[in-house]
Amino acid sequence: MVRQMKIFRLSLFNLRKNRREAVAIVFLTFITSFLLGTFFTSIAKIDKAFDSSFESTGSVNTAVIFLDGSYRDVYRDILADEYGIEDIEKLNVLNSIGASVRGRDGEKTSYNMYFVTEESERKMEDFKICESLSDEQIGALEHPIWLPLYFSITGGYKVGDTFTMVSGGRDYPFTVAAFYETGFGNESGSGFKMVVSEHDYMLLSGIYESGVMLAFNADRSDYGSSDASLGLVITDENALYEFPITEYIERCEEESSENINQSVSTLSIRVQKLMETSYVDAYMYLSAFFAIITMAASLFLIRQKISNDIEAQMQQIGVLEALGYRSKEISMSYVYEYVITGGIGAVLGAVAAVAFIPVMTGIIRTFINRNVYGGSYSLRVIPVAAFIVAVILIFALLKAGIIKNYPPVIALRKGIRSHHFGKNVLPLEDTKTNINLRLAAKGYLKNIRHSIGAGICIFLAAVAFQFGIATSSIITGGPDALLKSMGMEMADERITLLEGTDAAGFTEEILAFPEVRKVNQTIDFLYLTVEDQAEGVAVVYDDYATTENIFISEGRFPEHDNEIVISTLRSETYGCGIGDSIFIEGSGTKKSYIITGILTHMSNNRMNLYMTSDGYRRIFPNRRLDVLEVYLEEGADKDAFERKITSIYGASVNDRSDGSAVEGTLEERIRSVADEQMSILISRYGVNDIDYAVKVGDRMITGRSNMVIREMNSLKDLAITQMEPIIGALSGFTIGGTLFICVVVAVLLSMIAASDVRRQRKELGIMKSMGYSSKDLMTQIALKFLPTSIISVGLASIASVFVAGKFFELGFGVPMMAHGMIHIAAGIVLIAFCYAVTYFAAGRVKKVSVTELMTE
Amino acid sequence: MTSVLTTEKLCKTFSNGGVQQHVIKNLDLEIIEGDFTVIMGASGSGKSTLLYALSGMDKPSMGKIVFDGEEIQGKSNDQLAVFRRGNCGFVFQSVYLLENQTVLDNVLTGALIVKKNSPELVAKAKDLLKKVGIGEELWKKYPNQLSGGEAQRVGIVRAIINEPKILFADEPTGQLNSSSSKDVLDIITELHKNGQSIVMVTHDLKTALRGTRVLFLRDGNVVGEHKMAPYGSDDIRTRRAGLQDFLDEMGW
Repeated sequence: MVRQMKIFRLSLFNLRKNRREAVAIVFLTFITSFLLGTFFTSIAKIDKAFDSSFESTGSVNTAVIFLDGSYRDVYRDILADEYGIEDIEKLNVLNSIGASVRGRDGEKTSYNMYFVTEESERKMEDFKICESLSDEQIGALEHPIWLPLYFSITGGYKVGDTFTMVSGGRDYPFTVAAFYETGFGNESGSGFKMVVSEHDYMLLSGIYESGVMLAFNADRSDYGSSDASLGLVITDENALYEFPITEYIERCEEESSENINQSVSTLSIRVQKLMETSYVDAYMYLSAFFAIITMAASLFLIRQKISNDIEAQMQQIGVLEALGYRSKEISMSYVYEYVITGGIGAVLGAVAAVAFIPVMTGIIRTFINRNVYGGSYSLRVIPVAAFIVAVILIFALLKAGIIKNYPPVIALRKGIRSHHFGKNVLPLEDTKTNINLRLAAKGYLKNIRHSIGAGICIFLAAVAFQFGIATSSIITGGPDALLKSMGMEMADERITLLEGTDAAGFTEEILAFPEVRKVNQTIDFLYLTVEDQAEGVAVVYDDYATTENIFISEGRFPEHDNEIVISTLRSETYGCGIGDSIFIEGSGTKKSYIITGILTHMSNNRMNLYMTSDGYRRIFPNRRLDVLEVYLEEGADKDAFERKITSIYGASVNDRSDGSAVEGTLEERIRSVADEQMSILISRYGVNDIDYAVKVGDRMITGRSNMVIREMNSLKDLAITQMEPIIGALSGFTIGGTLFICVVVAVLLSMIAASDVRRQRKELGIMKSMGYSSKDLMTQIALKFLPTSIISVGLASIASVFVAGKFFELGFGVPMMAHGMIHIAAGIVLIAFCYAVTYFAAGRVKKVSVTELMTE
Repeated sequence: MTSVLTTEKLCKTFSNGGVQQHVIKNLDLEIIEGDFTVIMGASGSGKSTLLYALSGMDKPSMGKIVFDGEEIQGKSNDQLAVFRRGNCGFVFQSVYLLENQTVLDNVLTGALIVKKNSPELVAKAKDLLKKVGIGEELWKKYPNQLSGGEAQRVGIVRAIINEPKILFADEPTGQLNSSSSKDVLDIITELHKNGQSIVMVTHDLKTALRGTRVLFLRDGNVVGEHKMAPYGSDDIRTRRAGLQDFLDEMGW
């Protein structure tokens, strides 16, 4: 016991002697424990947060929306009779893809949305209000709107704020009555669920597409087999739907003898969870990666310090051994030291992780835009801290175990077993360069084995650093870089013409506008079925050379009507490639196409199909290129362009449908109502041309539809709206991560340099006596570490290309890469940083005194 | 008689736990070019402290040091390092060769900080090593493979490779046996004969006999001086007796 206490006191002595390194190890283990602790508490929380939030709303877990008047009551019967689903709620919805909203800053943004009344909302879920105006205040509002929580957490809206929908250049202001928690409808991908009054619902029904939703709870275990739909690749293990949706739709089509595939969309709790939590999951795993880096750095520092301590205290070890201490007992003095420092760091990190739980809860809330319920999972930090201490214990035991290789005689001789020093590398008589460079190179080659541990740490840190820089460079300047990977054109304006309109003539006319740079003709997106399995959105152009945002990865774009380009994911999923044929089906017609190219993209679940208009007409013979994608000149005012189009060609059908909002003379109001009625006839019943005559007293008011534009919107705005929160989070994370890595690298390198100075104090003193200045010696130390930095950073730069590519592939569906020069520049910066840190950390050499050396 | 180094009212004070210890007090000294100056004194008299101060290894607390016409007391540590390169050579009691470098590299490490590498410089290093009895077979050996005497001879070559104005030696034979001591002292004596100015600290009578001027230090000041003819030019017994008398007089 007495001996153990003496050993323990030796540990404390070492700790006091090397305070700075002890603090560094405490810091690194603290960070490791904190990050890992946060990861393990949060990952569980994220998983449960969505479930508990969803559950708290009382929402159904599945909903099928039938648009375009495609709903038939028999579809409900099929659900009840054939799938045994009870309590099926039927409700009306209004659907809008890319609805324009004027943001709080006055700028227009686009969201996918669907509108329901409070009654309908209560059929789906409990309508759980979080924050609300008083009933009296709501009662006094002309146009109240109840927004999902997203608009409070991320959108920054407050109750009482104005929420402005924009259509046809006109603002439709609503007042935010409340925010409510919702199961579905809390993100733009599948659409925000907006609750409006009965009166406003009626008004909006003229603007937005109406549909019927069947909402119900399904249990996947009831149906056995898994399902694939909407292009998602699904296996038995990760089926995303609670019931076999494709099979169900096929049954509906059989029963009604109608093709409804293009008019049906589905909401599923599993898909919803995946969409809302995948990004935050990715960030958490990145945090864990950072934790591994700090763990590696801690272990390396411990290894370095044990080696240095043993080397420095070799004679003391010899004396202790000569006095009868066993090597195991002496080893334990080092082990205690690191278990104490590592343990302090691990415990402090665990405590910090627990203290951070409320902050993390807030972060998760921001990420998933939901209130977070459930336990704190704080106990999970205990095994994390224990694991870290255990790893340090094992590592220290293994490293300190080398003492047994030094019997007293060897230890008293400072560990020197023989007078063999090996080959003299880089002899100075051959020196052609600066002596400092030569001595640094000699030092490096002599101790190359010691560089491996530091090299591994720098490699890991550099991968993370390069990843951060690459990601930042990709997202710098906003969503444009990500838009490039959409695989769809991102024109400034997308104009859908009414049937019968001369699209070519219209194109010629607007091409003459000075602010218009280019116009492409295409067809509205439609889902097609591929190989009787998953669907894909058809993208149609006659000449793909005119597109600006669709980039072929392999092969070529389709040129003939029997050619098609598929996505990389589809190619991998189906095991088909260029030259193979696939069957495409739509509207009951099935045709074979030859694959001419492969394209990687991230939109529409990464399952787009690219074909020519002739190819498309093999399935839909009557479809024409009636959608115009308008590219404006740089700096052109999009709002002004919209107003110009409206003034020349009249408002779109959708924009004319809200006649009630127009004020003016009797004639103006009559014409407005006529417009509204005509737009309903055109949009709902496919009418092309309408004449009207209204007799008022003796006067006859006549008019003609003369409408050419069905809809005008911006896909680009919608995509940007969906991307911006992701980009914001990603940007913050990468900047934070990169700075964190810089701190870890700085701590690690400072410790290495400082330890190098201490270890070589005598040599450095001798060099000083010869006339080497502190700057010379600092340069030597920094240069000595430079090859390790260069090699590690070089390898890391290569590795980071794959890491960043994989991250974007997993997160966004495409392996985006930063420009090679970015990696090279980042690598150079990191190497320079490493050099600067080691140089300044080696500044401790200034404290090495020649006189102190000689009086030793 | 040209003085190569002078001091005026040189002071060196150490502070230990708030207690001021004046090791050198208002010392005025002149080192003449070509002299072999030996500094002697009891332990703690300030011999080594004076050596470090004179050689620019340490900064004085007060006073002036003029080395070859240049005041050095106000220089920064790095400026002093640069100053030492061409002006001072050092031979230490503990030798202090760089353990991870070969004999030849140890010598060249000192040389290459002053001059660029050249065949002449390498040849000079090898020639000097040969002159002190370090044969070619030892050039690629490491310090731990040398005897104490061999190591000290390498240390002397390293100290003189840059042809310093003054060679400073701190107890150069302190850790050597008598045979090795004699070899080392012979080399130092030979260097002096060839015109090298030397300042050496010792408490060994035999070593001190090699000098031409012996300064006795007590309580941080020179309290006595004894001059001798160049070593070998007079009778050794008379020389020893004269020095012994001086030291006895100084209370040695």
